[in-house]
Amino acid sequence: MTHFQSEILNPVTGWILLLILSIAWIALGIYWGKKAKDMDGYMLAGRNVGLAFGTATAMATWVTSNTTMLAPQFALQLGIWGMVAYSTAAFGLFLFAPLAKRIKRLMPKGFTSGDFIRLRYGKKVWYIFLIISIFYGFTWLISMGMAGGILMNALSGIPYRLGMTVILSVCMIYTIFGGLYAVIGTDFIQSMIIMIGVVIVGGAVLYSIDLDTVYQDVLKDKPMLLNMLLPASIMAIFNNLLFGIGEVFHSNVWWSRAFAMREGIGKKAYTIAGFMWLPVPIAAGFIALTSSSLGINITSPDMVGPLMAGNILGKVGAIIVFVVLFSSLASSIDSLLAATADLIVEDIFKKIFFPAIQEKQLRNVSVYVIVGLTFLAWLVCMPRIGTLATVLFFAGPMVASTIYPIAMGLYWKNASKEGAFWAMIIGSGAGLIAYFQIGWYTASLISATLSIIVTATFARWKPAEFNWLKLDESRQA
Amino acid sequence: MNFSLPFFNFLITASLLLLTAGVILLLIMLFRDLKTKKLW
Repeated sequence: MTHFQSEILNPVTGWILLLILSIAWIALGIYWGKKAKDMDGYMLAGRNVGLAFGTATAMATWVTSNTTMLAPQFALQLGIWGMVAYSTAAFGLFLFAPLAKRIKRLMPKGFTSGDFIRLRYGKKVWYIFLIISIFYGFTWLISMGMAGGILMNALSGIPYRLGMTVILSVCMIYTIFGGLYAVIGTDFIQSMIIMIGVVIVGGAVLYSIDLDTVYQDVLKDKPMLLNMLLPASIMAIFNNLLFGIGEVFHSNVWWSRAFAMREGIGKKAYTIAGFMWLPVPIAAGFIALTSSSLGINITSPDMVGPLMAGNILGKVGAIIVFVVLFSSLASSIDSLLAATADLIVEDIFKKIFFPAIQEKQLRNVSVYVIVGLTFLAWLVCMPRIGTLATVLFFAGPMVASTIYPIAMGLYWKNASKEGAFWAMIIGSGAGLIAYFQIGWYTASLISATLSIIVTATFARWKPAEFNWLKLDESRQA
Repeated sequence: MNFSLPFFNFLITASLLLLTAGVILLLIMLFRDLKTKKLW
């Protein structure tokens, strides 16, 4: 059992906050869910999402509890480079921006990232892709569920199992009722809460302590945190960057938003979301560097952010941290539930087993899949095996191997199915070997490098001549 | 070789300012989408 440094809120306040937030998200989900009349509405929010909601959903989904909890830990252990390394994950959003535009143009009636792989590279690559993507989505879901339980427990003493069950159930309920309408609507409010909360806490820290003092104290006590040439941090930058790009490029969480946004919105929304996300790890992370100036001894590095906020801002700070963390968790869990369920329903259930299924039945299946996914995640989260969250990092090399088959597949006619197949197999395999034999920080790097070599070699050696029109299934119908 | 104090100040101040700008921009976009009925 993990012991945390302290609870910064009493359990009664924790329960009241949990209740208010849960009721608010469920009520909003049900309200917005009334707009979902058909599957386009339920799965893709009517394919007409504007710039404000599009930007907010991309930003909020990419802010997970890891962003607000791990960034201070990175700062505490890897210094300035640590915060910057975490920020590089914003490049996933920046680089996906032009892809979002092209995806919408090539596949105006597409549903999932699986649709693209199936139409572009055929069934063999599609099956591998589905395994990678569903494995990644499910492990991300588990890590968020566990983080939810651990954080609620650490912040306010709410028992782990209860906290984890509440957060998973709340997200499940409003996702079932409202589909992507509910997910995107709540994401807007959650993104505002996250940004305002981080600014208030960061501003209060700046107000209570001089940055010059912080700098001098860090220089005196832990000079390596200010070192420009700290090797581990520099490697962490490249690994984080590639893992981030891989996560965004392949995941249906981001593809479904690209399909959901109105024509001409995707590129702008993802670019602006990247700029809004970029400062979050730094603004949340630098607080950790003030610990030595304020004389706070940190024994649990992963709790440094909330602990500092609680120390500087008192109960108000603790409440802000609780609400920000709940919002970051909910904004990612709902998106994962919706997007992974879409992948299972649309790609596996409909495309593989029941192509003639009616829309109404498909919506019922969606509900069962969302409930099933939540239940499975809940079961795995129950024993509170902290180390299981690291399973998510195994997914790093696997998703990194999909970067180039996807990016090249969207732009190069001659990217071939053999190239995509071997890029994913060789990239994932070598990346996993590197993960165990060398270190986590090399896994995504090796996987992505091999993936680009294999995809490009096949494109040159055995080129395909792909017809882009094949990606638009509505045209074929 | 260390990161300088001015850079340290810049990094943190710029992050907080960028986030504040993000909140304002998101609100502007929201009102514009509401006005033009292009929210979704």
